[in-house]
Amino acid sequence: MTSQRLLNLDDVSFAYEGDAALTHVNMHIDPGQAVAIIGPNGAGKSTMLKGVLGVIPLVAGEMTVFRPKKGRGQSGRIGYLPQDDDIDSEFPITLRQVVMMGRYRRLGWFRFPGADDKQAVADALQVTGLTSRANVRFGTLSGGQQQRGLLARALATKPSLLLLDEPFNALDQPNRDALIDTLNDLKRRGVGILLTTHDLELAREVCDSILLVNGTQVAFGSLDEVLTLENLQEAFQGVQVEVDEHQVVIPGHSH
Amino acid sequence: MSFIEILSQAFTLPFMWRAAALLAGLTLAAGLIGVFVNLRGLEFLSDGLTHAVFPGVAAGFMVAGTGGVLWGAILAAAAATVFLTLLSHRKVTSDAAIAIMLTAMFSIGVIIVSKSHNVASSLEQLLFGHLFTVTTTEVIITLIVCAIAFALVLATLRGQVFAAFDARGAQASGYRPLGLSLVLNIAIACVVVAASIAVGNLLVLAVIIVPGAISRMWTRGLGGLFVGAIIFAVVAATIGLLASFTVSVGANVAIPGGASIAIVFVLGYLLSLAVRAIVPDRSQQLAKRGEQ
Amino acid sequence: MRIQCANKTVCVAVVVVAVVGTVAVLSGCSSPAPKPTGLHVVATTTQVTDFTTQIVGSAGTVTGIITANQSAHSFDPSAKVLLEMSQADALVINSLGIEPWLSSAIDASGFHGTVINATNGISVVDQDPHVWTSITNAQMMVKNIAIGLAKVDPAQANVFAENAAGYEAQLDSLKTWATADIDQIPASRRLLVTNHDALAYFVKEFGITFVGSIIPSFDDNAEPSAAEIDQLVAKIKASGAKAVFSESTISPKLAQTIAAEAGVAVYSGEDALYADTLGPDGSNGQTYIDATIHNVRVLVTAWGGTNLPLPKDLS
Repeated sequence: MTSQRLLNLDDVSFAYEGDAALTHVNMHIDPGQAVAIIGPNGAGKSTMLKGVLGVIPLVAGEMTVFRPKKGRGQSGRIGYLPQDDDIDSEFPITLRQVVMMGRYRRLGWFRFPGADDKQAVADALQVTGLTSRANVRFGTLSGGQQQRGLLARALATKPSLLLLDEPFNALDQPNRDALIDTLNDLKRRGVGILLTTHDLELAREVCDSILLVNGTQVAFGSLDEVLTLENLQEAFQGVQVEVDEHQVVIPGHSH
Repeated sequence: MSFIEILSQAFTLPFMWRAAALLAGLTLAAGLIGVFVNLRGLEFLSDGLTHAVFPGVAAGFMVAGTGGVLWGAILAAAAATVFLTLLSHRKVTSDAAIAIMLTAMFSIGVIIVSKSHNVASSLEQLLFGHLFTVTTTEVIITLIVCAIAFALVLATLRGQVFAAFDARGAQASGYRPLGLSLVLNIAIACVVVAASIAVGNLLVLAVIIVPGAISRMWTRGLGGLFVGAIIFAVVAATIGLLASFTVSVGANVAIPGGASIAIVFVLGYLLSLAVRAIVPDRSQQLAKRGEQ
Repeated sequence: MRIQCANKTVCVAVVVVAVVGTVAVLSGCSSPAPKPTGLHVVATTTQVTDFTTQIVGSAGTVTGIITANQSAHSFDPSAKVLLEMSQADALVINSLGIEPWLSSAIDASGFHGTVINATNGISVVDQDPHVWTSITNAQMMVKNIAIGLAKVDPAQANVFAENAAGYEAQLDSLKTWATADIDQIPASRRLLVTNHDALAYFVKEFGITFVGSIIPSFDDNAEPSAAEIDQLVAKIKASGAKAVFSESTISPKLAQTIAAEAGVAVYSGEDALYADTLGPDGSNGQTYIDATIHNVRVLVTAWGGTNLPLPKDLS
């Protein structure tokens, strides 16, 4: 039932200025499903997200992204959480204004934010536990708060598909638990989630499927199917140290 | 003549009204656009544009006299804008691209000027502007150019803010960064052209860079940033214009209007820096207190 | 978008300044400027200003636009100049392209008096605007200005005619003295190298041979190319000229370089020639007559002559 899928990739390769960054990806996300992209550093995890967003060009294969409404643009209802280091933290803008950015595409160029926009922003702040910080300058928030603020911006979009780049980074334990609850709640409402992470335990708690990559697709499927010793060894070839450092659990494998 | 008498004379004269009208348009546009120049760190690009406009101004003067200056400036600015925007979206370090362009264009301008004896006498006018002797046509065209710049940025305001804050996020949410950059750079170029007429090519940067930078020092949210920049630009230009008139008439020391305005802008910036150094940023303190 | 101010006091202060500024500007519009009484004439170059001052005498006020040692070619009128123009009854100009800023200045100031063209009827050679360097031309200019002023203020026409006649007589005796002084030097030794082509009419009137100029233009802002400099050095050496004469409005650096290369003397600073403008008050070139006497003396001395005493009506 491809037509109901939020995202479908058929032998897709993404490349930036001729350098293939991620090749031969076959995967899909259905409503209410979450997929974790796992792989070593530089394996193309962020590339995958940017490719789906259309920021990095697709050079081979076929990608279908769920289109919410005619004329609104395919990314109108994709929520995206970038990695924090892309943000100008000195920018003179309040958290509320940042979250409102998630509504910009719906507002178009001229319309002022209406009650539903303000409600969406308030909801997103509530869900991420930032309501009390709404009028504080974004740059003065702590790292974890900034990350949650950007997540709130993605949520304010009221997305059908949520793309999260390392959402658990810079979060302490309570914040992690809160984020996991939020994501599971979104799934129950039919939102599809595609996230990158180093943390297999967190992936287990949220995700239904795993996309294992290392410059190319190693495996895609349910957690049990993908997380075999063979697959992991193929994906993490020669970067064992990196794996241990991030406490990736490799079942049945001992050093 | 007392200070008040001198000032009361100022606006009985056609040239003061023209200067005021031109500055009104210029400062509104420069205030708004200056904010984005500051937010996106486009100071160097603005500098590149002012240098690129110079040969256009010189060539325009050669082809069509004083009336050709504005058109030459517009054409050169348009070409330079497209070139710089495309270049900065390639992998070439954009600073290097701008620096190369800047030197190339300015030397072309110098060659044009040195080859034409007629142009030489207007060189000062090109570099320092001729605020007090702008013609009505120049005022009208300048106002149109400023209105275009203002409208371009206002129409794309949300995208510009988003892209300035988080370029990748903006792209991800469906904005086209190249298009937004192009629109913004065209607007900057418009202001450069308009300001070249008023305060001169060499002093354009003060008008474009200072208002945004000062406003940034004093405001926390976005709305205040824009309002602050525009208010500063309008007030500083008014003070500069009146100061130039008063000093010229009262003390018989001829200060070109453009230079006078540029000085007020720069003094405003220095004053703001000094005060900021003494007065701690309250918004920062509040934020820290809220954290605990 | 909500307007937010980090610091309310700053915001208030800015708004107050803006409001006060606007009020000050608007209140300025209500009271028109007081117009000075009597005939008020504005003149452009220092030469026409001097001529006009001689003719008007005490019958009115004369204000010059260009100040001493300031180039007329590149000039940005100040607010004061425009204010003076807006209140003037007449504007005396040299024209011939030496005041390229004039039309925009007239437009900007809203000048509504009479424009008097001082060089009306003077035959121009090679579009060179420095016609006054010929004393004969200067006399024509004085006549033109007197006629123009008579039309502007007919009641005082007699005063202008009388003053003009007296001044023309002085110019006559200046011409006689200068001719005699220069004629001491054999024509073959009267060689002139200057900064820019500003003295062509002077050269013609007194039979001087013009070797070349450093800036090959009537405009004193142009710059010579390397080849042009080389050519000039060769010309100076070939002609046997003994000196390069700098002008008061132009930096003598280039003249010094070229003179050094050609192995000749430089006359600059105190000894520079007055060409584009007269000298400031108190200098030896503050009037047209003083400046011309200075130029003749410097040249004759440089060529190895001894200056003749001045006639009584000039000293």
